[in-house]
Amino acid sequence: MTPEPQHPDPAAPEPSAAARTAPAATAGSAPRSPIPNGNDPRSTDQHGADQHRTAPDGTDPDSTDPTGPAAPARQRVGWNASLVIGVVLVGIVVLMALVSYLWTPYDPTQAVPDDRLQGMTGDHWFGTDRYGRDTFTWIMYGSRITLLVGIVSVAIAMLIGVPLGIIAGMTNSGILSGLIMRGNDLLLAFPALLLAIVFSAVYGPGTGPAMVALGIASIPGFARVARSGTMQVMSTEYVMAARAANRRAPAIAARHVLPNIAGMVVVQGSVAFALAVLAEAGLSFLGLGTQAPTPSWGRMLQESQQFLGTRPELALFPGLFIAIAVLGFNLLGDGLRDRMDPKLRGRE
Amino acid sequence: MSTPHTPAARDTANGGPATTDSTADAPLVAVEDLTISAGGRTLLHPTSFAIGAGERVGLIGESGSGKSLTSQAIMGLLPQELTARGSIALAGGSGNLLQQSESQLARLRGREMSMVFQEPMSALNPLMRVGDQVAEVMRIHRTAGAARARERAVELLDSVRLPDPAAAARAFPHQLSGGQRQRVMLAMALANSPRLLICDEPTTALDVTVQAQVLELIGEAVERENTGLLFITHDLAVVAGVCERVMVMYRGELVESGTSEQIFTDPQHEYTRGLLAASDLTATDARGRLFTIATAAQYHSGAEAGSDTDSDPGRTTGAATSTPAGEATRGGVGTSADPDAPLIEVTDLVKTYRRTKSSLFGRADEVPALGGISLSIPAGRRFGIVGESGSGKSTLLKILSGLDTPTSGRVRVGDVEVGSAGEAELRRMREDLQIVFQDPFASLDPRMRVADIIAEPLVPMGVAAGERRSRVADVLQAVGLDADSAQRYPHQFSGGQRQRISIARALVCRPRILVADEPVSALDVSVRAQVLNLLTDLVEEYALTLVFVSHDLGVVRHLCSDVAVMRGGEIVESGPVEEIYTDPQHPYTADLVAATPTLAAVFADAGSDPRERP
Amino acid sequence: MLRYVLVRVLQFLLTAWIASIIVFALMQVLPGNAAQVALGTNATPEAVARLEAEYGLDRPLVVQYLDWIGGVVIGDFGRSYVTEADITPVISDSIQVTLIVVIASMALALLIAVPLGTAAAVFHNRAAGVAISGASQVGIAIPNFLAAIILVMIFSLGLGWFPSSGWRAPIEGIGEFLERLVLPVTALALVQAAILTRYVRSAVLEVMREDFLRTARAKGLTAGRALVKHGLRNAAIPVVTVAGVQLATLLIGAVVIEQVFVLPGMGSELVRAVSNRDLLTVQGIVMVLVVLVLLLNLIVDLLYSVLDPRVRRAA
Repeated sequence: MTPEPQHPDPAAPEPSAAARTAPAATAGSAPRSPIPNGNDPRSTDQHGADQHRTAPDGTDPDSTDPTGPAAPARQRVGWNASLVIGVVLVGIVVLMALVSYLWTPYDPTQAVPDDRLQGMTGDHWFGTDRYGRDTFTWIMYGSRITLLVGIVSVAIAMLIGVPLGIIAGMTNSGILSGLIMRGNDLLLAFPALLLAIVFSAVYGPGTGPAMVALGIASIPGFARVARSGTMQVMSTEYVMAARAANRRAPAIAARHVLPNIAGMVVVQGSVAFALAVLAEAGLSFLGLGTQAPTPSWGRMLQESQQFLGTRPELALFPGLFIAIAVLGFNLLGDGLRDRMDPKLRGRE
Repeated sequence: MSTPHTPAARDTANGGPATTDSTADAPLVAVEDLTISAGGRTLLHPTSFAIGAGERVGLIGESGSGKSLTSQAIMGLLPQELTARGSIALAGGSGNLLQQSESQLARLRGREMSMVFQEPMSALNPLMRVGDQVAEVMRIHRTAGAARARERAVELLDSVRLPDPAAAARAFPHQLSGGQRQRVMLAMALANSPRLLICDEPTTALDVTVQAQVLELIGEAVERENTGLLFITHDLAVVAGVCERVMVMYRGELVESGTSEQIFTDPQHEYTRGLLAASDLTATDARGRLFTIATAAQYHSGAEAGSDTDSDPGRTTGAATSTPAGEATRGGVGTSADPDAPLIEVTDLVKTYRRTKSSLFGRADEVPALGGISLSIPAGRRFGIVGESGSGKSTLLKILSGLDTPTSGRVRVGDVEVGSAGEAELRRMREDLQIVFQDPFASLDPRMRVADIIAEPLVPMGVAAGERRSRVADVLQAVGLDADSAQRYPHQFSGGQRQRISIARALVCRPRILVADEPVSALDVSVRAQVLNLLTDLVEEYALTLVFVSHDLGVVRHLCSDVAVMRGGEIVESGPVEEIYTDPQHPYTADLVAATPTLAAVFADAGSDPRERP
Repeated sequence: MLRYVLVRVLQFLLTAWIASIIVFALMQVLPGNAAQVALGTNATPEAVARLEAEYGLDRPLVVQYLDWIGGVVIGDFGRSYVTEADITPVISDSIQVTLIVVIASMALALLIAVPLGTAAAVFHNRAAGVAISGASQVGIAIPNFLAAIILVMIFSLGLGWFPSSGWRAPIEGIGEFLERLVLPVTALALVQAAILTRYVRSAVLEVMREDFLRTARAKGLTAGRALVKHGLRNAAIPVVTVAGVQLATLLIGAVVIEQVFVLPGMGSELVRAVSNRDLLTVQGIVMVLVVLVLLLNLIVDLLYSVLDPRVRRAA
C-alpha cells in the first residue's frame, strides 16, 4: 500500500521508483544547462521543456523533482507506511541471511533421496526439491547471494557513478563533463541483463562477473542523479556564497554538494539494489548467473520448471522471496524519498 | 460571527452583510462567515464582506494571510484538502456557491466571474496555441461559434495591446514574455464580459514598467465593462492606484476595511498602520530609519500630514538626514590611501555568454549580457544598481565579486584587477568584498548549522576554531540574533531572520565592501523595513562601501547615495540618487520612476481620487 | 526541426559505431582466443591454428574488426566457428519472433496502464487509487519469468486453455500463432503494465498540480474535463518517453521469457550461443540488440520533439 502523507498541499508527494526502469536513456536527454541570459530568473523557458523529461535510466521515475538536494536537514520522524513496510521486508531478507550463518534447518548440500519432492510438511516447511534438499534452507542461503549481488553491484555503481556525476555537475558544460555524460549515454545502450549475459559469455557464468556487470550497468543511474543534484546545488546561492568566501572546489564538493545530494543517492541506491536483485534472479534463471551448488533463488525457479504440474511450491517460494526483496527495496526507496521530498518543505 | 475588528469597518454603504436576493441593490458578491480550514487548523477565520457591481476592491495581506484562499473559495477552486464553510452568493445566482457542484460552479467560472493568477509562466497550457486558449473560454460557455471565437480571440488579444495580435494568437505560450502572457490571461478572463474579475497578485512576477501597463489595462477593462474587481496584492501602493475600497487581511482575519482614502490616511488597526508605515520608503524616523510595525506609532502617513510633507519636501528631508551620516563615517575610517581614487572601478566591461548546446553540432549562440559599461564607486558610498530582469545587473555583480569573468574590459576592486588577477589576489579581494544574496531560503545550506554557515568565510582564511566561534557570536549579536541561534539549522528561522544570517556571514570577515543582490525582494513588507534598517546600521557601523542591486527604485532611493540605472546590459544613467529620481535625463529612467508605484503618489491623489464615483 | 532530426540521427550513428567497438573489444578480452574457446581446451594446437586460419582469426584485431563491422553494415554477420552456419539467418529469423512478442506486450501494457494509472492519480487519496498503486507496486516486484511460470501453472497446466510453450509463425496458422502468443505476451505485459501504471499515475498527478489546469477550471471547465482537455496531452509527454525506453527493457526482458516458453527469439539464440561458446554469434546478437536500444531512444527523442513545441523551438 502506498499511503499519501497527510499534507494540505495537493502536491502530495508521490511514492515512486519502479526499480525496473530501463537502464537506458537517450543521448542528449541530459538536462541542458540553463542559458545564462544575464540575470533573468523568469526567462528559462527552454529549461522548462527539459524538465518534463525524466530520463528513466533507473533514476527516480516518478517526478520531475526527485529528492531535492536542497531538502532540509529536518529531523522529521516521518515514518510513512512505504518506509515501514520497506524496512520490514528488507529486514526479513537480511535477517534470513544473517541467521543462515548460524543456523539452518538442514544442510543445504545434504540430499535425502527419500524426502524428494515433498510438499509443505512439519519437517520441511517449504517442501523439498528433487534431491530431497530442504527448500527453506535453500531460501535462507539464497538470500545471501541476493544481498551480496545487490551490495557489491550498488557499491561499484555508487563509488564510480557518484564521483563522476559530481565532477560532471561541477564542471558543467566543460569538456570533462561532456565526456562523462557521453560515456554515460553509451553505457545506457547496454541494459543490465544484456551486459551480464555478455560478461558470462566472456568470463564464464558466475556470481562474480554478474555482480560486476550489474554494477557497471547501474553506473549511469547514479551518475545522472549525482550530476543533476550537483547542478542544482551548484546553482544555489549558498554555493555562490561559499565561492565568494574563497572555498575551493573540493571543499565545496565535500561540505555542500555531498551532504545535499546524499539523500538522492541513497534513494537511487535502494532502487538500484532492487534492480540488481531482479537482474541476478533473471540471470540465474537463464543459468548464466550463480552456479551450482551455491543456492540462488533464480536458479531454484529455473529448476522448478519441470515440476510445475506436481510441485508448484518449488517455484512459488523462491518467486515469493524475490518479490519480497524487490518490493522491500523499492518501498524503502519510496519511503526515503517521501521523507526527504522538497515539496513537503513548507516555505511559509 | 464577525471578526473582532470588523466593527472598525466603515464601509456600511458597500460592505454590510447583504441579502442574497437578486434585487437591484444586492451586492455582486456577498461573502458571509467564510471559514476555511485544513484538517483541524483554521486558515481563514470567519470573514464577511461584499463587493458591489462594478466596484473595485483591493484585498491586502502578507504571505499566509489567507487572501488567496479567499479568492479561491469564491471561484470554487480551493484545493480538495481544504474545507470551506459559510456562504458566498453571487447576485442573480442560485444561492450559496460553497454548496454547489463542480459542474454548477464551472458554468459560472469564466462566464460570470473569472480570474487572473500570479504566475504567468505556468498558468497557460504549454502545448496549446495562445489564440486557441483564449477562444476556448468562449467555446466552453457557447458564447461564440468556433470561427467567431477565433476572431474574437484576436480582437481580445488586440484589446490587451499585444503587438501583432494575429501572430500572438498563433504563438505557443513559451514564445511570449511574462508580461505578454499576463495580458493573454487578462484577455481570457475578460472574454465573456464577466461581472466579477478576481486578480490574484497579477503583477507580482512582472517588471515594474510592465506592471504599470498591466495595471492600467486591468483598470481600463474593468471600468469599460463595469466589472466588479477583487484585486489581491501585498503591495499597498499598487492597490491604491487600482481600487476604491481596500480590505486588509492579517493571519487569516479581515482586520480592516474602508475606502482607499480612509485606509491610507486614517488606518484604524494597528497592523494596517504598521504595514502602511513599513511600506512608506520615503518616511523615516528621527534616526533616518524606516518605520517598522513596532515603531509605526510615530508614523504619520503622508496624506494625513499632507500639509507639511506633501511628498517631495518630507522625503528630501529624510534622505538628507541619512546621507550625511554615511559620509561622516566614511571620512572617519579612510579606507584607501588615496582618498580620491574610487574603490571600485569598472571600465568598458563586456560580458557575452556562449549558449552551449548539448548536441555535437549545435551552433553556439552568443548572448550579450553586458555591452561595455563603465562606472566608479568611491569608498564609503552606498551605490545602487537598478534594473529590470535581463538588464545585466546580476551579471555585473557576479563579475564584480570574482564569481564570473569578463569577456573584455577592466574591473578593479581596491588594488586588484579582477579580470587578470591570479587566484591568490582574487582570494584576497573576496575577503574584502562580501555578498548578501536575494533568496533567504536558497542562500543558506540547509544541512549546515548557522554557526558553520556564518563561519564559512573564515575557514579559508585560516582563522582558528576558537576565534571563529567568538567572531560568530559577535556578528550574530550585531545582526540582532540570539547567541543560541548558532546551533540551529536555517529552516528553523523565518525569511527575515535568514536574511540576517546571510548578512552576518557577509560581515564576519570584516569586508570593506558589501554587495547586496536584491536582499529584500523576497521579503514581506514589514520584514523588509527591518532588514533595510539593519543594513543601514551596519553600513555605518562597519564603514562599508555598499553596492546594492535592486529592481525597486524606491528601496534604492531610500538606502543609497548614488544610483546607476541599467537596461539591456547598458548603464543608461547614473548619478546621485535624488538627482536621478527627481530629474531623470534618460526616458527609460523617467519611465521607471513613473511606473514605480509609491505611497507618496497615492497620498497626493488621496484628496481627489479621479476614479471615485459619485 | 530538420536540423534537429539530422543531429540526432548523426548522434545515433556515432554512438552505434562506438558501441560496436565496445562489443567487439569485449569479445577479445578472453583468456586464450576465440578459436580455442570454440574448440574447447582439449583441442590440439594444430586444430586451433587451422580454425584460426580458416576464419581469419590470425589477422590483426583492427583488420578483424573492420572485416566484421563492414559485414554487419551490409547485413552479413559472418559464419559461426561452432556451427559453421551463417549467422545472419539466425538473427533475421529470431528478431521477428522477439519483435512480435515485445511490441504486442507493450501495446497490451499501455492498454492496461493508461486507464489504471489515470484512475490512480485522479483517486489518489481514495481507496481505489491507493489500491491501484499498491497493486502496481507489487506487480513491479514480480520478475516477468515468475509471472510466466504462474500463468503457465494456471492457464496451461491447470485450465489447459493455452499451450505451455512453443511457437508457430503466423503463416502456419493464425489461430495456433495467437494461441501460443497469449501467455508470453501476457506475462511480459502484466509486469510492464505495473511499471507503466506508476509512470502514468505520477505524470497525471504532476499535471494535476499544474497552474494551467487551474486556469482551465477558472475558464469554466470542470476538474474532470480540464484534466481530459488540457492535462492528458501534457501527461503523455513523459509517458511516451518512458514507454519508448521501457520498450528497450522489454527487448532484453524477453530473453528470459523466451526461455520459459521455448520461443525461437533472439534471447533463446543468445543464450544458446553463450552456452555453445559461439562468440561470433553472441557478438552479432548483442550488436543487434544494442542498435535496437539506441534506435528506440532515437525514436523517443524525435517523438518527444513532435509532442512538445518547446523542444521544437529549442531545436
